[in-house]
This record gives sequence, structure tokens and C-alpha cells, in this order.
Amino acid sequence: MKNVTFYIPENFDPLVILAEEKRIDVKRDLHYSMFYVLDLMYRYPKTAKGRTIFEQTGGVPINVETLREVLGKRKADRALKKLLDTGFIIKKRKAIAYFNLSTVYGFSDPVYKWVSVEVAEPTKSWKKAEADEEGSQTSLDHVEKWLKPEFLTPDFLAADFYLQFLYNDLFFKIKALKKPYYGEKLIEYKERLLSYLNYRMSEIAGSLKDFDKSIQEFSRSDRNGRMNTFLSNSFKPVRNLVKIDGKDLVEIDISACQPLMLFWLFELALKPQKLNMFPISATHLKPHLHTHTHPYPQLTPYVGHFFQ
Amino acid sequence: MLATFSNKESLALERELTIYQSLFQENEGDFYSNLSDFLNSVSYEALRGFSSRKNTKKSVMHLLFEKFDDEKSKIPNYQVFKRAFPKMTMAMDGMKTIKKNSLAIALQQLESSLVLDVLTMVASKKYPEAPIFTIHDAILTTEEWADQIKDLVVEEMSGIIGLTPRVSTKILSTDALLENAFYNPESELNLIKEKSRGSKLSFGKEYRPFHLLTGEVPNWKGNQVMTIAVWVQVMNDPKYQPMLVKFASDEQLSLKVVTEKPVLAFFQSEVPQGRGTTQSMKKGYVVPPKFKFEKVE
Repeated sequence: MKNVTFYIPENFDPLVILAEEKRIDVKRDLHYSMFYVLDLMYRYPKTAKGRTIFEQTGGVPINVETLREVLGKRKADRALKKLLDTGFIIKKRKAIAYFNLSTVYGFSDPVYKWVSVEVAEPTKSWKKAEADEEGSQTSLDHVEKWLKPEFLTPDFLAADFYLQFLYNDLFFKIKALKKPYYGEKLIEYKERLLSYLNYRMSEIAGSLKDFDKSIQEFSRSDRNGRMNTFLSNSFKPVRNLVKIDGKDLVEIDISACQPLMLFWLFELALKPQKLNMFPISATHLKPHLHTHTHPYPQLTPYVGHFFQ
Repeated sequence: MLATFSNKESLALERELTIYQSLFQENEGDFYSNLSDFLNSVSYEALRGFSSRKNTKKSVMHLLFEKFDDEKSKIPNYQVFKRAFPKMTMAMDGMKTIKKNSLAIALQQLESSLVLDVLTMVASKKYPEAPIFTIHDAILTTEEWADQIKDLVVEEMSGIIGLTPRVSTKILSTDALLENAFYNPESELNLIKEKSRGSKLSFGKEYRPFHLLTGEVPNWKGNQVMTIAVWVQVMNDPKYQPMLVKFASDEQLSLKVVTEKPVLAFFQSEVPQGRGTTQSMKKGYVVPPKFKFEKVE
């Protein structure tokens, strides 16, 4: 992972600003993006043109479109919003043509000291690195080894048929609808359907287009422990369009899984000795079982993997 | 949650769990159908939320993941479930007081631990050559390994949970998907009607016809799709010239060209290269009524 040096104000504490964020990857991205913006505000007044503008306006012009291109739309917007919401930076001027449609941002309090910090550059493999860092609990080697383009390949010809045929067919079917509403409400209804159709088909086409990259990206949520992969994030038809060595996939589904887990949760809460039968060290279950579902804490000793 | 339960209440909960457990075992383990039958037998009212398997599934998910405050607790589904399983409902509500999604997260954690750390782990050790992917509560593999992994899932789960779960397998075949899309597009339309209910409405959005992923005319069991989007992309390919001449002379197609507004934009500018790229559409463009293709001898 490549490290980048940024200059930031000494009194800037990203941990306080990002305290509410729950996802580790979002935290890291925002961390980097905010440092990038602050570094821009440090470097720009060092140039001759920058100094004049800084003296005129008391701030630094930042073109949001350019920032979005560098950092990505969501990251750039959220980083700016975080900095503005916390009052660390303020808007000095709106976007005007004189500054190439850039908004002028300045610090709410004058900065007396700048410090240099090193931050790891965000890469797409962060999610994977995150899973690796947390050790055996989140080690997904047995599933991860198959998430490679040499094993999974999409059937592009079938995908083309599906997209071209269904998009056109449904487009005109929706256009020809005369029910269930009338007048403006019908137009709105059709717009909604077309909008969703377009979104759905675009997502399917987009996920197959970047298949080789997206198949290798995955993460395991630290909240619910679920693994998010290309297959779970895409729409259902994509699963039918993906093959292993030209063979169709087979889905083995546990019926009524959530109600079954509810039963198991109560079983574990009522009979904690059953915890020993659960042959894993899933420490993320501990808070729920320990604090909320334990019936007789004084009688049952905390034995087993969860409570060691 | 259960820490506040007295011994008497815990015993009552155990009794309820025995009934709840039986719903997983009777009638080939079809939980939702069994629950529907059970609640309908207990209640005197006609229950819309538990009238069919599909409705029961929706209602159960709602009961698990929604927080029932004063207002919401009056809904019939909640009241009926509470009457049948009072202590279970009390415990579930107790968990949700901390945070609305506490119960949902606890269940998902159990499920993910079971699937990722136990079932797939054991399966990969026992059958190292079997490809394994997961989609939350489902495991994907090939047909060759499906039966063996299914047996393993049943065996492991009954050992850990003490219940034999109902496990189903389904082949995710391309042919089935295309067959449904080709012969039964109405079902896809119904799906879009259902799913678009909560979607955001964006007026004036430009619709983007899809560019081909392969650069060839899509073909499935002899059925070729020749939309304008496809036409524009393959028109320079000499292999498709005779076919295009035939289509161009077809009167029906020329009529279709005039009516098919979303694809007109393809005649305005160059077609972007690369598979799967999209191009925006501009309104108000007038299409020349006929295309001139030279016949290939």
C-alpha cells in the first residue's frame, strides 16, 4: 500500500469527526479525502496565483467537479460535507465563473501551525486487506480462493440477449400501459417503472462489464458478519448468467433461515451449555449473548469459546 | 432481555419454543406453511397476513425486523403472533428496545457465523475441489457437488442447532432465465412493478440503451434480437451485412424505427467503442425513414 504525505492543520482531529461512522472502509476513505482537501488548502496559496486569490478572498477555490474526478463523487462530497458541518472550514464565496466555477473555502479559525502526516492511499483491495487484518475469525480463504475470474466467467452472449430483448420488450410494454391510473398519475407511474427498469438493466450490464475486477472485491461486515461479494450485491439474474467452467451454478438454500436463527438464539440464551457445541470462536456474537440474552448470569458460569 | 425473565417466565418461554420447534419438523419442515396453519387454527379472525405461505413469509420478516411501538403494536399480525407466542414476542421486543435492528443483527451474525465459519469451512475441508460461494444464507456450487454439500449442510446443522432444517437446491441455469424472459416477459414486468414501488422517481432522466457486451447479434436457440441498438453496433461488420439488408427492406422494421424513440440517439453521434458502454439519448431527433445498405453479393 502506497503512503502519501499531506499537510494538515495541527488542531484537526479526524477521529472526532469520524466517530459516528461505523464502516471501517468508509472511515478510511473519508480520512484520506479530508486530508486531501486540507492539503489542497495548504498547497494552493504557495503558488503566485494562489497567493493573490488567497489575499483577495481569504480562501482557496476548489472545483467540486475536479475534486470528484480525483477522489470519487461520494467521497469528495462527503469529505467536504463533514468539514463544513463540523465548522472546520466555511464557504467564503459561491461558485462563480471568475474562479472557473469553483467555490472558495476558507478556515473558520486562522491556522497557525501545519503538520505533515502520512496516510495510506486508498485502493480497491482495501476491503480484502481489511478482511485479512482481522485474523482467523474473518479469514475467508476457503471461499475467497474461488472468487477469481479464472473460475467464474459470465456468459456474455446470453447476457446480451437478456438485456437487449427484455429492455426493449418491457420498455414498449410500459409505454403502452393504460392502467391502473389515469392522466398525470399514469404518466408518473410509467416514469417510475421506466426509471426502475433502466436502473435494473444498467446495474446488470454494469456488473457484467467490469466482471473481472468486481469478482475479486469482497468484504465481511463487522456488524452482521455477512460476506458481501459480487454475487450477493448483484441482481438475481446475474447469478444465472455466471458459469463455472461453462457449468451452471446450483443454489443450496436453507429454508426459513431467519426464523430458524431466532429459535437457535433462544436456545443458546436458555441453555448456554449448548454454546460449547458451536465449534467456532465467533467473538462478535459475544455482546448479544452476554448482555442481552443471558437468563441466569449468577448461576451459569461463562464457559465456552464466547466467554473465554 | 432474558435477564429480566423470572424462572416461571423462562419455563413458559421453553414451552413456546417447543411449539415453535415443531413448526420446523412437521409437514416436511415447511415453516411458513406450518406457521400459517397454526396461527389460523389459534385465531378466530381471518388473517390476511398469514393467509398464504408468501404472505406469512412477509409478515414474519416484518415481525422480526420492525420495532412495534404503541401505534404499530395494534396491527393484527403482531397481535396474533403475540397471542400465540407471548414470551417470545416479549423477548424479541426487549431486544429491540436497545436499538431497532439489534435482533436483526444478532440473527444475521448467527447466520453468517454458521454459513461462513462452519458449513463452508467444513465443506471446503471435506471436498477441497468443490467450488463454494455464498450468498448470505445460501451456498452456491456446481451440480456435481450439490448433493454432497446439501447432505453435509443438513448433517452439520442438525448437529449444532438440534433441528433438521429444510434445505432446497435450485439450478441457476441461463436457459431457464432466458426462457422466462422470452416466453413470459409479463412476469418480469410484474417484478418491476413490485420492486419499483419504493424506488426514487427521476423525471427527465435520459434512458440509455445498452451496448453489446460481445459485439455480436444476440442469439438464443435461433432467436435473434435485432433492436436498433444492436443494428447500429453490428452495421459495420461485413458478416451481418446481408442480414441488415434484409431487415432494411422489411416494411415493419422501418415503421418500428419511427416509433421506437429511445434508440434514435444512436444515429446522432459515433458509437463508443468497448463492450457494455452506454450512450445518452437526445430527444427530438428526426430519423431518416430509410437506410441505405449496399447489397453484398
